Amino acid sequence: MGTERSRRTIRIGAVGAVLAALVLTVGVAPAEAAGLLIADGGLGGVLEITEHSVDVTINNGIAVTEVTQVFRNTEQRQVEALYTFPVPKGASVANFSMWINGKEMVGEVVEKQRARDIYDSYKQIRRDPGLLEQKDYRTFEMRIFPIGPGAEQRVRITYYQELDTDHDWATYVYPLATASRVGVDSRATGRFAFNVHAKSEVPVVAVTSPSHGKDAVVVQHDPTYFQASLESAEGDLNKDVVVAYQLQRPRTGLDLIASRKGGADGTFCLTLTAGKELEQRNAPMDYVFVLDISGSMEHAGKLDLSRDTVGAFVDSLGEADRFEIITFNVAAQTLFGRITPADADSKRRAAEYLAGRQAKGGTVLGPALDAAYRFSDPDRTLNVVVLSDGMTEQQERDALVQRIKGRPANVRVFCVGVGNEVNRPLLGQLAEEAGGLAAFLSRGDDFQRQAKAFRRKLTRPAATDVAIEFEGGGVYDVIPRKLPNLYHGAPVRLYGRYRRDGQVKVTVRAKIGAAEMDQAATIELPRADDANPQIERMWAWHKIQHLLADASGAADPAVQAEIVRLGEAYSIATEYTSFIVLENDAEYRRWKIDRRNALQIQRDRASREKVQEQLAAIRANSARTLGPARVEPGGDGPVLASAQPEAGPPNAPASAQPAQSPPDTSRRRGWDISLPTRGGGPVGVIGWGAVAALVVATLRRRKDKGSDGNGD
Amino acid sequence: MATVTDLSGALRRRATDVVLAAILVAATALQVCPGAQALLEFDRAGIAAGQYWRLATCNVVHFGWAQLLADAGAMAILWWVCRRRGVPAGWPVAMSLMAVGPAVWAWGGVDVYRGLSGINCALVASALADAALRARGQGGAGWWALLALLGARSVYELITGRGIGPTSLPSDVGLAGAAHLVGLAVGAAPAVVRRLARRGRTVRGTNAVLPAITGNGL
Repeated sequence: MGTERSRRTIRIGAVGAVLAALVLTVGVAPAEAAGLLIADGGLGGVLEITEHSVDVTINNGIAVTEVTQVFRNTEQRQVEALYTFPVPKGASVANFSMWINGKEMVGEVVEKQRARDIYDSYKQIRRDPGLLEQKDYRTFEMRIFPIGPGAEQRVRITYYQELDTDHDWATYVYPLATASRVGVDSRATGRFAFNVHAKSEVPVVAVTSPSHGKDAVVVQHDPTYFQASLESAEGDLNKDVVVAYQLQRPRTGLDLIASRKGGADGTFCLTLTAGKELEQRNAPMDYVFVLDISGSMEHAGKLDLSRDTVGAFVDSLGEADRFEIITFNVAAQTLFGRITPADADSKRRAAEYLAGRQAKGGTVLGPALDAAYRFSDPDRTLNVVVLSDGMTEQQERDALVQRIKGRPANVRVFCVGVGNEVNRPLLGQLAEEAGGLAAFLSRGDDFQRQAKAFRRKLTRPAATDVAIEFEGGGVYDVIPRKLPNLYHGAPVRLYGRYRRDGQVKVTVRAKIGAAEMDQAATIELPRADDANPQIERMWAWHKIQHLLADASGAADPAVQAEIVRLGEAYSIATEYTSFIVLENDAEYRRWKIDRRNALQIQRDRASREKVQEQLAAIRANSARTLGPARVEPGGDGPVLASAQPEAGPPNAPASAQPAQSPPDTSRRRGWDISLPTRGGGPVGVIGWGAVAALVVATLRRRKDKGSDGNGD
Repeated sequence: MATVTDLSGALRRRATDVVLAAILVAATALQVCPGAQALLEFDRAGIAAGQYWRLATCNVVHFGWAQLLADAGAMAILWWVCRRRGVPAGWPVAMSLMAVGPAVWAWGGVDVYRGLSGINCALVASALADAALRARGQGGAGWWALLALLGARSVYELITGRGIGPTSLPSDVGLAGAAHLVGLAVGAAPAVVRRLARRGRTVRGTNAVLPAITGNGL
């Protein structure tokens, strides 16, 4: 960074709001963006983002995002600054670094109270510790003081997240549009660079940037590797950057990635994906859309997006489907007062009704849910779709969960969160309790595509009662223990540890319609694999979430101790652990803080460099096909795509096209599951005809014999 | 006084009645025991692992009440038809019970099979062939044609995996044409053999008798 600062006090306070509902990122004012460093504490001042670079590595659906930002104090006086960073949904912050005296100091995770004590001790002597705390799940804050006139501060945050996958499309969102602080100028005066490198065992057949289709460059070098890039100067960062890619797994099956080093236990991530053969005919269904029109929905176009989504959903309904719309703020109101067939007239009335709604008042979801349940018909499945930005009060949470649990037997509840600030844990819990699911969407994305994908999920899960069991390999600590339903286009992912390498028998049990599926596959757990270190943290993060989800367990000191142990071991900031950044290595030694994260970061970066080398080889190989003498139609060369596609899947986001060559499925390391082909034998029309003829002949014969006096 | 042959026939009929009744009762009872159904259905993997009972027991489990109702109803009617017409049902039932599972296994394409339809096919083929033989030229061709139509339907099912017209099966269950075809074969076989045997006897009798008539100067 090169800028001298005599004193800096960095205080990082976790600020987060637990919001509720499903995710549809909504448009925001230009003055709201991610990763802000603002003057705070009454001293005033303006800080600019002079550099903002985002490097994303996606490995089989797990994204590692490294955000580096440089802030500059433009005033000629010392200011105190507040750094705030909104963590994307489902993300795990795995590193925080800041530059002190020109050197990157990597933070370490320690137990929260201890971290606070260490921080306070430095604060008293006005030295430079940094502290990153998580008070809620969504936003992190850090204070920096003082920043001298014209001085710069460089910070780096790394977080891990699983990508949302719907309708075979995996979507990565960099949440620039999240309102971390209202009224702050977030424009980067310097360079904004965004780079994605993605590899996938399942072939990628299309890549696009729905948010920046005209500005982003997407290059697919190989069916298993693509790159996306976006760069601008003085960018107005008021829109999420969205990159989506379509995977193609023609057959239902399992895909595995693993991480193991030395003789230590390994970690694996197993993905079960529904194939095309599981597609089934859609059956008519009932829907009740419960739409939040409270005052909070007025911000950032959330209500508009909700209206558009419900409208698109209603338009997609068939005439055999039936629906009702309930809007709610502090009170609930119905459109028809009864469940109504989705014909042209009712769709028109729905559109008019939606257009007339205005956002105002508070949010009370419970009575609206009760009203929705009253539309259940014992002979049909009722899908209750809740669209909200999730502002449900914390104290209502338990009551809401109880309401979900107490729903009629044939009712499923689905949650659609509007905005990035939703309460993902609450939504996830509600969906789990309700046998439904939650869906997430960014404003930059294509809501019609999302609506269609959601409709596809709502229609019918591909498989229910899914269970996966392992035999061999010393597999343990598999998370989650209870798997959700398997939906088309949305794989089920589970993590686990293993003691021994070699073959493991994996048995998949599920119910497909009324049929039981019980299939086994033999997978190979590697002796060593250092290409996927991120799954170790994801496993630990899921385990922590599992421990936190159990409210009674979370209050248990033993559970808290386990969370701290996992947080420290895997460098994960949690409710019970914090990141602390000290001035130099000697200070870490003084406090007897192991440099676990520094080592882990070293290892991760080495691993990423190794992967980058492999990807570079793919790029080089791909580039060899370029040139006027070598390129042939339909060849294997890279495809540059920054404009609208010539063609794409229905409702797919506009932009990039896949490689010209078909996916090389032979390279995929996965195991197809042969779903049982069921056969039976109906009597059939001809069969019944033959039976009827025999019956008639027999009766006539009997009658004839009877008339002869010889009846039997 | 009843002869030994009469007693033997009565016992055979009684045994057949018992077997058919047991099959119907078992099929109905199993419909409320999904766990037992999973143990008894034709499961290719299970059979490969040595669970050979599935080759026979697959006949008495069903994919749903609709299939059970259709299959069991047809079997009950055919049972009555066979009794009324004096058609021996023991052979077709026993043979189809043993042959349907191996036929489905041999033909392939189906991993899970359930249903009484193979046995029903054997019963209907037996009854049709018997009716054709009894008709002795008076409408016999019609019965044979009906049997041939059923055979053609089964071949169509075997080749295409699709049925003709609506079926009682769930939408995600295909057709196992091999079960029907082998059922028809084992059901019609005794009647066909009897007919061939009778034709042979008739030919020999004609050769022996005609010269004698001619010799009488008629």
